Amino acid sequence: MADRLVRLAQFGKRLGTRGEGKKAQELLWQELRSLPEGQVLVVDLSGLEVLSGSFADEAIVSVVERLRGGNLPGRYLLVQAPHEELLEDLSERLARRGLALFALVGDGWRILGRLSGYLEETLHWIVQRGEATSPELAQALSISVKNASTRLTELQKLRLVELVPESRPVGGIQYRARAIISSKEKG
Amino acid sequence: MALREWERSFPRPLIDLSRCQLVDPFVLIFLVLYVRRCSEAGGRPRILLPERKDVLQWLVGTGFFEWVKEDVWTDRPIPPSLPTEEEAPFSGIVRVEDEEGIQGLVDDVCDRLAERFPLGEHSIGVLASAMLELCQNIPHHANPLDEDIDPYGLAAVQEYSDHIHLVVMDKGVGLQKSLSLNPRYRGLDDPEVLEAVLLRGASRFTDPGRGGALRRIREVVLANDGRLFVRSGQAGFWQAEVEMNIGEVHPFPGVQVSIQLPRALFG
Repeated sequence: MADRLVRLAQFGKRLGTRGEGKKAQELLWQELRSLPEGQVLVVDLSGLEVLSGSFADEAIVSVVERLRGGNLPGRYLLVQAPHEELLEDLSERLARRGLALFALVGDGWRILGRLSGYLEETLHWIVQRGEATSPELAQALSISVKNASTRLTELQKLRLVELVPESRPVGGIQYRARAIISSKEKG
Repeated sequence: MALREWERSFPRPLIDLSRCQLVDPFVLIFLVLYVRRCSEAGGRPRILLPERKDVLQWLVGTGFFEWVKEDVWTDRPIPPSLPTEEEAPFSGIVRVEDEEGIQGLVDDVCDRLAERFPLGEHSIGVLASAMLELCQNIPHHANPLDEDIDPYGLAAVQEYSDHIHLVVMDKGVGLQKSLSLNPRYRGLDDPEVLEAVLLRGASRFTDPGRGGALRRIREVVLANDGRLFVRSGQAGFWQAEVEMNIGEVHPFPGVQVSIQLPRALFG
Protein backbone atom coordinates (compact mmCIF):
# COMPACT_ATOMS: atom_id res chain seq x y z
CA MET A 1 0.00 0.00 0.00
CA ALA A 2 1.90 3.06 -1.22
CA ASP A 3 0.07 6.34 -1.48
CA ARG A 4 3.32 8.20 -1.93
CA LEU A 5 6.92 7.06 -2.24
CA VAL A 6 10.21 8.79 -1.37
CA ARG A 7 13.49 7.30 -2.54
CA LEU A 8 16.33 7.82 -0.08
CA ALA A 9 18.90 7.06 -2.78
CA GLN A 10 18.51 10.71 -3.83
CA PHE A 11 20.77 11.47 -0.83
CA GLY A 12 23.50 9.05 -1.95
CA LYS A 13 24.07 5.33 -1.97
CA ARG A 14 25.96 5.16 1.34
CA LEU A 15 24.01 7.11 3.90
CA GLY A 16 25.73 7.66 7.18
CA THR A 17 25.92 11.11 8.71
CA ARG A 18 23.41 12.76 11.02
CA GLY A 19 23.61 15.96 8.97
CA GLU A 20 22.47 14.19 5.83
CA GLY A 21 19.89 12.35 7.91
CA LYS A 22 18.40 15.66 9.05
CA LYS A 23 17.95 16.75 5.44
CA ALA A 24 16.13 13.50 4.69
CA GLN A 25 14.03 13.92 7.84
CA GLU A 26 12.86 17.35 6.65
CA LEU A 27 11.87 15.91 3.30
CA LEU A 28 9.97 13.00 4.86
CA TRP A 29 8.14 15.29 7.27
CA GLN A 30 7.20 17.65 4.46
CA GLU A 31 5.83 14.72 2.44
CA LEU A 32 3.87 13.41 5.42
CA ARG A 33 2.38 16.84 6.13
CA SER A 34 1.11 17.11 2.60
CA LEU A 35 -0.34 13.59 2.68
CA PRO A 36 -4.14 13.37 3.08
CA GLU A 37 -5.34 11.60 6.24
CA GLY A 38 -5.51 7.83 5.98
CA GLN A 39 -2.63 7.60 3.50
CA VAL A 40 0.76 5.92 3.70
CA LEU A 41 4.20 7.28 2.86
CA VAL A 42 6.66 4.61 1.75
CA VAL A 43 10.36 5.24 2.25
CA ASP A 44 12.09 3.31 -0.50
CA LEU A 45 15.60 2.09 0.30
CA SER A 46 16.33 0.59 -3.11
CA GLY A 47 19.62 1.74 -4.63
CA LEU A 48 21.23 2.05 -1.18
CA GLU A 49 24.33 0.12 -0.20
CA VAL A 50 24.60 1.42 3.36
CA LEU A 51 22.08 2.86 5.79
CA SER A 52 23.97 3.61 8.98
CA GLY A 53 22.39 3.85 12.41
CA SER A 54 23.13 7.56 12.73
CA PHE A 55 21.50 8.45 9.42
CA ALA A 56 18.57 6.14 10.08
CA ASP A 57 18.01 7.62 13.54
CA GLU A 58 17.83 11.18 12.21
CA ALA A 59 16.01 10.51 8.96
CA ILE A 60 13.48 7.82 9.84
CA VAL A 61 13.40 7.00 13.57
CA SER A 62 12.90 10.61 14.61
CA VAL A 63 9.95 10.86 12.20
CA VAL A 64 8.41 7.66 13.58
CA GLU A 65 8.88 9.04 17.09
CA ARG A 66 7.07 12.27 16.20
CA LEU A 67 4.19 10.30 14.71
CA ARG A 68 4.11 8.11 17.83
CA GLY A 69 3.91 11.33 19.85
CA GLY A 70 0.60 12.14 18.17
CA ASN A 71 1.71 14.52 15.42
CA LEU A 72 0.07 14.45 11.99
CA PRO A 73 -2.78 12.11 12.92
CA GLY A 74 -3.95 9.72 10.25
CA ARG A 75 -0.64 9.64 8.34
CA TYR A 76 1.37 6.42 8.15
CA LEU A 77 4.94 5.55 7.32
CA LEU A 78 6.69 2.34 6.30
CA VAL A 79 9.92 1.37 4.61
CA GLN A 80 10.55 -0.87 1.64
CA ALA A 81 13.94 -2.48 1.13
CA PRO A 82 15.52 -4.83 -1.41
CA HIS A 83 17.13 -6.95 1.33
CA GLU A 84 17.09 -7.45 5.11
CA GLU A 85 20.70 -6.47 5.70
CA LEU A 86 19.94 -2.84 4.91
CA LEU A 87 17.41 -2.75 7.76
CA GLU A 88 19.56 -3.99 10.64
CA ASP A 89 20.81 -0.66 11.98
CA LEU A 90 17.41 0.99 11.46
CA SER A 91 15.70 -1.78 13.42
CA GLU A 92 18.22 -1.52 16.24
CA ARG A 93 17.69 2.26 16.53
CA LEU A 94 13.89 1.87 16.52
CA ALA A 95 14.12 -0.76 19.26
CA ARG A 96 16.25 1.51 21.41
CA ARG A 97 13.49 4.13 21.34
CA GLY A 98 10.74 1.55 21.90
CA LEU A 99 9.27 2.09 18.42
CA ALA A 100 8.11 -0.23 15.66
CA LEU A 101 7.74 0.16 11.90
CA PHE A 102 6.52 -1.97 9.00
CA ALA A 103 9.15 -2.99 6.45
CA LEU A 104 8.34 -4.50 3.09
CA VAL A 105 11.16 -6.81 2.01
CA GLY A 106 10.86 -8.70 -1.25
CA ASP A 107 7.28 -9.98 -1.31
CA GLY A 108 7.02 -10.18 2.46
CA TRP A 109 6.85 -7.89 5.44
CA ARG A 110 8.34 -7.73 8.89
CA ILE A 111 8.23 -5.47 11.88
CA LEU A 112 11.35 -3.46 12.65
CA GLY A 113 12.19 -2.24 16.14
CA ARG A 114 10.44 -3.46 19.27
CA LEU A 115 6.91 -4.80 19.47
CA SER A 116 5.68 -6.97 22.32
CA GLY A 117 4.61 -10.50 21.47
CA TYR A 118 0.91 -9.89 22.11
CA LEU A 119 0.86 -6.83 19.83
CA GLU A 120 2.74 -8.70 17.13
CA GLU A 121 0.20 -11.54 17.33
CA THR A 122 -2.61 -9.00 17.03
CA LEU A 123 -0.96 -7.22 14.13
CA HIS A 124 -0.42 -10.45 12.20
CA TRP A 125 -4.06 -11.33 12.62
CA ILE A 126 -5.23 -7.92 11.41
CA VAL A 127 -2.88 -7.91 8.39
CA GLN A 128 -4.11 -11.37 7.46
CA ARG A 129 -7.74 -10.29 7.70
CA GLY A 130 -7.19 -6.76 6.40
CA GLU A 131 -9.36 -5.27 9.16
CA ALA A 132 -10.96 -6.11 12.50
CA THR A 133 -13.14 -4.73 15.27
CA SER A 134 -12.47 -5.31 18.97
CA PRO A 135 -15.20 -7.95 19.33
CA GLU A 136 -13.89 -9.84 16.28
CA LEU A 137 -10.36 -9.73 17.59
CA ALA A 138 -11.49 -10.74 21.09
CA GLN A 139 -13.26 -13.77 19.73
CA ALA A 140 -10.41 -14.82 17.45
CA LEU A 141 -7.69 -14.50 20.07
CA SER A 142 -9.83 -15.59 23.05
CA ILE A 143 -9.30 -12.37 24.96
CA SER A 144 -11.70 -9.86 26.43
CA VAL A 145 -13.16 -7.12 24.26
CA LYS A 146 -11.54 -4.56 26.54
CA ASN A 147 -8.15 -6.22 26.10
CA ALA A 148 -8.66 -6.35 22.32
CA SER A 149 -9.62 -2.70 22.32
CA THR A 150 -6.48 -1.78 24.29
CA ARG A 151 -4.31 -3.68 21.81
CA LEU A 152 -5.88 -1.88 18.86
CA THR A 153 -5.36 1.48 20.53
CA GLU A 154 -1.70 0.67 21.18
CA LEU A 155 -1.16 -0.39 17.57
CA GLN A 156 -2.88 2.74 16.39
CA LYS A 157 -0.61 4.91 18.56
CA LEU A 158 2.37 3.17 16.97
CA ARG A 159 0.80 3.98 13.56
CA LEU A 160 0.73 0.33 12.60
CA VAL A 161 -3.03 0.21 12.07
CA GLU A 162 -5.63 2.81 11.21
CA LEU A 163 -8.68 3.05 13.48
CA VAL A 164 -11.80 4.03 11.58
CA PRO A 165 -14.97 4.93 13.54
CA GLU A 166 -18.21 3.29 12.47
CA SER A 167 -21.75 3.03 13.83
CA ARG A 168 -22.53 -0.03 15.93
CA PRO A 169 -25.66 -1.98 14.93
CA VAL A 170 -26.92 -1.59 18.51
CA GLY A 171 -26.17 2.11 18.57
CA GLY A 172 -23.08 4.14 19.45
CA ILE A 173 -19.65 4.13 17.81
CA GLN A 174 -17.11 1.35 17.44
CA TYR A 175 -13.68 1.38 15.84
CA ARG A 176 -12.53 -0.82 13.02
CA ALA A 177 -8.78 -1.38 12.75
CA ARG A 178 -7.45 -1.46 9.22
CA ALA A 179 -4.02 -2.76 8.29
CA ILE A 180 -1.81 -0.21 6.55
CA ILE A 181 -0.23 -2.96 4.47
CA SER A 182 -1.94 -5.49 2.28
CA SER A 183 -2.21 -9.17 3.23
CA LYS A 184 -0.66 -9.98 -0.18
CA GLU A 185 2.66 -9.22 1.47
CA LYS A 186 3.54 -12.34 3.42
CA GLY A 187 4.59 -11.82 7.03
CA MET B 1 56.99 0.55 23.81
CA ALA B 2 58.12 3.05 21.16
CA LEU B 3 55.66 5.67 22.35
CA ARG B 4 56.96 5.40 25.90
CA GLU B 5 60.49 6.06 24.56
CA TRP B 6 59.40 8.98 22.41
CA GLU B 7 57.48 10.57 25.25
CA ARG B 8 60.65 10.78 27.37
CA SER B 9 62.02 13.44 25.05
CA PHE B 10 58.69 14.94 23.97
CA PRO B 11 58.31 17.22 22.03
CA ARG B 12 61.70 16.50 20.39
CA PRO B 13 61.83 12.69 20.27
CA LEU B 14 64.00 10.46 18.15
CA ILE B 15 61.72 8.28 16.05
CA ASP B 16 63.80 5.37 14.91
CA LEU B 17 62.26 3.67 11.89
CA SER B 18 65.60 2.42 10.58
CA ARG B 19 64.91 -1.26 11.23
CA CYS B 20 61.24 -1.22 10.32
CA GLN B 21 60.16 -4.16 8.17
CA LEU B 22 56.68 -2.77 7.67
CA VAL B 23 54.81 0.42 8.46
CA ASP B 24 51.11 -0.33 8.62
CA PRO B 25 48.42 2.37 8.29
CA PHE B 26 47.86 2.46 12.06
CA VAL B 27 51.51 3.34 12.69
CA LEU B 28 51.55 5.69 9.73
CA ILE B 29 48.53 7.73 10.83
CA PHE B 30 49.67 7.62 14.44
CA LEU B 31 53.03 9.07 13.36
CA VAL B 32 51.30 11.95 11.55
CA LEU B 33 49.26 12.60 14.68
CA TYR B 34 52.29 12.37 16.93
CA VAL B 35 54.39 14.72 14.80
CA ARG B 36 51.49 17.17 14.84
CA ARG B 37 51.32 16.95 18.63
CA CYS B 38 55.08 17.59 18.91
CA SER B 39 54.81 20.51 16.53
CA GLU B 40 51.97 22.08 18.54
CA ALA B 41 54.20 21.81 21.64
CA GLY B 42 57.00 23.64 19.82
CA GLY B 43 59.11 20.57 19.05
CA ARG B 44 60.43 18.91 15.93
CA PRO B 45 60.99 15.14 16.03
CA ARG B 46 64.01 13.54 14.36
CA ILE B 47 63.21 10.57 12.18
CA LEU B 48 65.70 7.85 11.25
CA LEU B 49 64.32 6.68 7.92
CA PRO B 50 63.78 2.97 7.19
CA GLU B 51 66.88 1.25 5.80
CA ARG B 52 64.79 -1.09 3.67
CA LYS B 53 64.22 0.65 0.36
CA ASP B 54 60.76 -0.85 -0.18
CA VAL B 55 59.57 0.26 3.25
CA LEU B 56 60.93 3.77 2.73
CA GLN B 57 59.44 3.91 -0.75
CA TRP B 58 56.04 2.83 0.60
CA LEU B 59 56.25 5.52 3.28
CA VAL B 60 57.11 8.15 0.67
CA GLY B 61 54.34 6.90 -1.60
CA THR B 62 51.69 7.32 1.10
CA GLY B 63 52.33 11.04 1.14
CA PHE B 64 53.50 10.85 4.77
CA PHE B 65 56.30 13.36 4.30
CA GLU B 66 53.97 15.85 2.65
CA TRP B 67 51.82 15.68 5.78
CA VAL B 68 54.67 16.21 8.24
CA LYS B 69 56.48 18.65 5.92
CA GLU B 70 58.67 21.02 7.89
CA ASP B 71 57.78 19.47 11.24
CA VAL B 72 60.47 16.76 11.27
CA TRP B 73 64.20 16.33 10.77
CA THR B 74 65.28 13.26 8.83
CA ASP B 75 68.68 11.55 8.94
CA ARG B 76 68.99 11.76 5.17
CA PRO B 77 67.18 13.33 2.24
CA ILE B 78 63.74 11.93 1.48
CA PRO B 79 63.80 10.12 -1.89
CA PRO B 80 61.27 11.04 -4.57
CA SER B 81 58.11 8.98 -4.85
CA LEU B 82 58.38 6.30 -7.55
CA PRO B 83 55.43 4.77 -9.38
CA THR B 84 54.53 1.35 -7.96
CA GLU B 85 53.13 -1.75 -9.66
CA GLU B 86 50.31 -1.91 -7.13
CA GLU B 87 46.95 -0.59 -8.26
CA ALA B 88 46.39 2.10 -5.66
CA PRO B 89 45.98 -0.20 -2.65
CA PHE B 90 46.36 2.73 -0.26
CA SER B 91 43.61 5.32 0.05
CA GLY B 92 45.95 8.15 0.96
CA ILE B 93 45.86 9.92 4.31
CA VAL B 94 42.54 11.71 4.65
CA ARG B 95 41.76 14.58 6.99
CA VAL B 96 38.42 14.34 8.84
CA GLU B 97 37.18 17.74 9.89
CA ASP B 98 33.54 18.61 9.32
CA GLU B 99 30.64 16.20 9.07
CA GLU B 100 29.79 17.61 5.63
CA GLY B 101 32.83 16.10 3.91
CA ILE B 102 32.56 12.62 5.41
CA GLN B 103 30.05 11.05 3.03
CA GLY B 104 32.13 12.16 0.04
CA LEU B 105 35.38 10.76 1.40
CA VAL B 106 33.77 7.43 2.31
CA ASP B 107 32.28 7.25 -1.20
CA ASP B 108 35.71 7.94 -2.73
CA VAL B 109 37.35 5.11 -0.79
CA CYS B 110 34.48 2.66 -1.29
CA ASP B 111 33.97 3.41 -4.99
CA ARG B 112 37.62 2.53 -5.56
CA LEU B 113 37.20 -0.69 -3.61
CA ALA B 114 34.00 -1.47 -5.54
CA GLU B 115 35.91 -1.19 -8.82
CA ARG B 116 38.50 -3.66 -7.57
CA PHE B 117 36.04 -6.01 -5.81
CA PRO B 118 32.81 -5.97 -7.81
CA LEU B 119 31.45 -8.92 -5.79
CA GLY B 120 32.34 -7.41 -2.44
CA GLU B 121 29.25 -5.28 -1.95
CA HIS B 122 28.45 -6.69 1.50
CA SER B 123 32.00 -6.23 2.81
CA ILE B 124 32.37 -2.79 1.30
CA GLY B 125 29.10 -1.94 3.03
CA VAL B 126 30.51 -3.13 6.36
CA LEU B 127 33.63 -1.03 5.83
CA ALA B 128 31.66 2.02 4.67
CA SER B 129 29.30 1.82 7.61
CA ALA B 130 32.18 1.63 10.11
CA MET B 131 34.02 4.45 8.38
CA LEU B 132 30.94 6.70 8.33
CA GLU B 133 30.29 6.21 12.05
CA LEU B 134 33.94 6.47 13.12
CA CYS B 135 34.60 9.57 11.04
CA GLN B 136 31.55 11.43 12.30
CA ASN B 137 32.51 10.57 15.86
CA ILE B 138 35.41 13.01 15.39
CA PRO B 139 33.35 16.21 14.81
CA HIS B 140 30.71 14.97 17.28
CA HIS B 141 32.81 13.67 20.17
CA ALA B 142 36.52 14.55 19.88
CA ASN B 143 36.01 18.05 21.25
CA PRO B 144 32.47 18.18 22.65
CA LEU B 145 33.03 21.23 24.85
CA ASP B 146 34.75 23.18 22.09
CA GLU B 147 37.99 23.48 24.02
CA ASP B 148 41.07 25.11 22.53
CA ILE B 149 42.39 21.88 20.98
CA ASP B 150 42.59 20.60 17.43
CA PRO B 151 41.47 16.93 17.37
CA TYR B 152 43.18 16.58 13.98
CA GLY B 153 41.08 13.66 12.75
CA LEU B 154 42.67 11.39 10.15
CA ALA B 155 41.66 8.25 8.27
CA ALA B 156 43.19 5.77 5.84
CA VAL B 157 42.42 2.44 4.21
CA GLN B 158 45.10 -0.03 3.09
CA GLU B 159 44.57 -3.14 1.05
CA TYR B 160 46.77 -6.16 1.82
CA SER B 161 46.90 -9.57 0.21
CA ASP B 162 44.86 -11.08 3.05
CA HIS B 163 42.95 -8.20 4.62
CA ILE B 164 41.67 -4.65 4.29
CA HIS B 165 42.81 -2.31 7.05
CA LEU B 166 40.81 0.78 8.07
CA VAL B 167 42.25 3.30 10.49
CA VAL B 168 40.48 6.34 11.95
CA MET B 169 42.06 8.40 14.71
CA ASP B 170 42.20 11.75 16.43
CA LYS B 171 43.97 13.44 19.31
CA GLY B 172 40.88 14.99 20.86
CA VAL B 173 39.61 14.67 24.42
CA GLY B 174 39.28 10.88 24.31
CA LEU B 175 36.45 8.57 25.29
CA GLN B 176 36.78 9.02 29.06
CA LYS B 177 36.31 12.78 28.99
CA SER B 178 33.58 12.63 26.37
CA LEU B 179 31.63 9.92 28.20
CA SER B 180 31.94 11.72 31.55
CA LEU B 181 29.57 14.38 30.17
CA ASN B 182 26.87 11.81 30.88
CA PRO B 183 26.54 11.76 34.71
CA ARG B 184 25.83 8.03 34.58
CA TYR B 185 29.40 7.32 33.45
CA ARG B 186 31.29 9.94 35.46
CA GLY B 187 34.24 8.60 37.45
CA LEU B 188 35.03 5.60 35.21
CA ASP B 189 38.68 4.97 34.38
CA ASP B 190 39.91 4.33 30.82
CA PRO B 191 39.50 0.51 30.81
CA GLU B 192 36.02 0.83 32.32
CA VAL B 193 35.12 3.42 29.70
CA LEU B 194 36.25 1.14 26.86
CA GLU B 195 34.19 -1.66 28.33
CA ALA B 196 31.14 0.58 28.73
CA VAL B 197 31.40 1.95 25.19
CA LEU B 198 32.34 -1.21 23.30
CA LEU B 199 30.37 -3.81 25.21
CA ARG B 200 27.41 -1.89 26.59
CA GLY B 201 27.01 0.86 23.97
CA ALA B 202 27.44 3.70 26.49
CA SER B 203 27.11 7.24 25.16
CA ARG B 204 27.64 10.75 26.44
CA PHE B 205 24.04 11.44 25.42
CA THR B 206 21.10 10.45 27.58
CA ASP B 207 18.94 10.24 24.43
CA PRO B 208 18.51 6.46 23.87
CA GLY B 209 18.83 6.83 20.10
CA ARG B 210 22.28 8.39 20.28
CA GLY B 211 25.62 6.60 20.67
CA GLY B 212 26.26 2.89 20.52
CA ALA B 213 28.10 3.11 17.19
CA LEU B 214 31.34 1.60 18.52
CA ARG B 215 29.50 -1.35 20.05
CA ARG B 216 27.67 -1.93 16.77
CA ILE B 217 30.96 -1.75 14.86
CA ARG B 218 32.48 -4.28 17.28
CA GLU B 219 29.55 -6.65 16.70
CA VAL B 220 29.72 -6.31 12.91
CA VAL B 221 33.52 -6.78 12.84
CA LEU B 222 33.11 -9.87 15.00
CA ALA B 223 30.38 -11.26 12.75
CA ASN B 224 32.66 -10.80 9.74
CA ASP B 225 35.73 -12.48 11.28
CA GLY B 226 37.54 -9.18 11.48
CA ARG B 227 39.85 -7.64 14.04
CA LEU B 228 39.30 -4.49 16.05
CA PHE B 229 41.62 -2.36 18.14
CA VAL B 230 40.46 0.75 19.98
CA ARG B 231 42.84 2.84 22.01
CA SER B 232 41.89 5.76 24.21
CA GLY B 233 43.70 7.36 27.12
CA GLN B 234 45.61 4.66 28.99
CA ALA B 235 43.64 1.68 27.74
CA GLY B 236 43.43 -0.45 24.62
CA PHE B 237 40.74 -2.91 23.52
CA TRP B 238 41.61 -5.83 21.26
CA GLN B 239 39.19 -8.17 19.56
CA ALA B 240 40.24 -10.95 17.20
CA GLU B 241 37.78 -13.71 16.35
CA VAL B 242 36.08 -14.57 19.64
CA GLU B 243 38.95 -13.31 21.81
CA MET B 244 38.83 -9.89 23.37
CA ASN B 245 40.92 -8.09 25.93
CA ILE B 246 41.25 -4.71 27.57
CA GLY B 247 44.73 -3.72 28.70
CA GLU B 248 46.91 -0.82 29.66
CA VAL B 249 48.76 1.26 27.06
CA HIS B 250 50.94 4.34 27.29
CA PRO B 251 48.67 7.39 27.62
CA PHE B 252 47.90 9.35 24.49
CA PRO B 253 45.15 11.88 23.76
CA GLY B 254 42.12 11.12 21.59
CA VAL B 255 40.80 7.88 20.18
CA GLN B 256 42.59 5.59 17.74
CA VAL B 257 40.69 2.82 15.97
CA SER B 258 41.93 0.03 13.72
CA ILE B 259 39.67 -2.42 11.86
CA GLN B 260 40.94 -5.32 9.77
CA LEU B 261 38.52 -7.30 7.61
CA PRO B 262 39.56 -10.48 5.78
CA ARG B 263 40.11 -9.81 2.09
CA ALA B 264 38.37 -13.09 1.28
CA LEU B 265 35.13 -11.38 2.26
CA PHE B 266 35.54 -8.94 -0.63
CA GLY B 267 35.50 -11.65 -3.28
